[in-house]
Amino acid sequence: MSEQVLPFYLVCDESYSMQGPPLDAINQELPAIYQEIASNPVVADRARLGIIGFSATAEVLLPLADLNDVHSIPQLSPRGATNYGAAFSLLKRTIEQDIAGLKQAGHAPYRPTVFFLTDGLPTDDWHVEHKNLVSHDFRAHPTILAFGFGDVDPATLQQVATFRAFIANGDMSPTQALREFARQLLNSVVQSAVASSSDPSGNAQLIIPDQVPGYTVLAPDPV
Amino acid sequence: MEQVHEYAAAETAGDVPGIPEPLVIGRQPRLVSRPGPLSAVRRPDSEIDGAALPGLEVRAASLRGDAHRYYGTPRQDAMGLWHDGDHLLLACVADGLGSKEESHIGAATACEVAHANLSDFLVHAEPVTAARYFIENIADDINDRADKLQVAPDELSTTFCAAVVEELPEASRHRATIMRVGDCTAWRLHRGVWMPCFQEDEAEAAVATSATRALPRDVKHVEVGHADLYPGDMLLLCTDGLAKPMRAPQVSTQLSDWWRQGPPPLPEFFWQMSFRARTHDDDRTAVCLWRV
Repeated sequence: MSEQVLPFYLVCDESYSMQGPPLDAINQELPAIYQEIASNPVVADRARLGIIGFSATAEVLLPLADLNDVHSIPQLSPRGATNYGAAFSLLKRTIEQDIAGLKQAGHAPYRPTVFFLTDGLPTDDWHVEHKNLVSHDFRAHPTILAFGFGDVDPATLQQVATFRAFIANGDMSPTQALREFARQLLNSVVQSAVASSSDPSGNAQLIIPDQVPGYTVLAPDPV
Repeated sequence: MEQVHEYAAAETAGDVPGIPEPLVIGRQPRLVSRPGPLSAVRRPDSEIDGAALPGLEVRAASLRGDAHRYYGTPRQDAMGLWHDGDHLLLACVADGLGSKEESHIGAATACEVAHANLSDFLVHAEPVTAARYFIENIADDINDRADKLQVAPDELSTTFCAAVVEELPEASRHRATIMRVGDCTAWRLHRGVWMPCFQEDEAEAAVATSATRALPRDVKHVEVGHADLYPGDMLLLCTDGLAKPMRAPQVSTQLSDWWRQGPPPLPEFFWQMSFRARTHDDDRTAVCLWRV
């Protein structure tokens, strides 16, 4: 039976620069995000969750899965350098395979949403891999929201994001803000939206408040 | 007397068959199907309608989606039926966009004002021109409504699909002219096979999208289709809440199995429309016109 599927990827920086409070915050938050998704049946019926971790290399920690089939959430541990290029390459390949698999099964996948969690201090030149991922030539290109933890470089975060970048400002725990954010995001993605003439593909479907408590919100850099 | 009364009541209770739960097609949804909180905006959860007209039997239902029931938000779909008392029927469905809070008003307005604008359709012989005038006038009425409510016209955004069905005196057929803006659609059920009245192309898209054309903004994006209805045929007008699950063969086959038999009783039609399919929790509206 054809289902409307919302692929949802958490891409987590687990490099040494994330060691300590930033990585602890993410580790604490992953089960909470899962719980938030699972607690809302409207969202849980649609959402498929995948987790990718990266440092010097990138790996799929949780293959995109129906929430019914997720029995434990992986924990991240600090290791290696911060290779954004490896993360974006693996993410693109993963999305290609996942979308093809979902269609093969008769489902209707929506545009994937990526939460990119990082301190924004890459150690490689990642722009080519990023461009390949977000280019409209890649028809299933994801919507990327970047979340900054630790000592963030805002400019990098803005370059990574295609929709919004968020930096925890200390008013609220990043974990709390992220959870609130996941809820609003998932609810908004599934609602029908007006197709704008300039973008009939429906990228206007994310409706996110410009103010998220606990976060400084940055617009993405124009590509 | 009391004893007799009790005896009769017990006998009746034993004979009454229970109404089954809605049919689940595919995997069991996590989302349960129940009314949920009353929405602050008062609109009935569902509507059922029907009619027996010369040569046509009508069944229509508009159901609040299980997602709207869960959140306690109103049904944004609407429908309308109007008959001239002679040989002309107008049927319409509309789906207010989920991203707009007042869109249920847009959908309801489109269906309410449609028949008052029918004369503009009828005076133009060429169907595409006729459809354009008809839809433009409906869009004007939605704009007027937005003015009165002092909201931006986009807040009332709604998809819309209408069929004007005329009995042709010289033949045993009814001719339907169908026009739409956005992702409502129409099918003719002919000998158990669904024949599309509009070209559907979303299967080729890289990823699915909930974006759609909508009134009053997209008044220039009118599509026109036709269907000739012979005895035994049925014309279905529906919102995307039914069109999307119908892309699955399990659903389209089930509906054709039910509906190829001819019009069901109203309660049965409502039960059929209440089928559940995981992730297909949007409002669902269908107007079915059986040529009898």
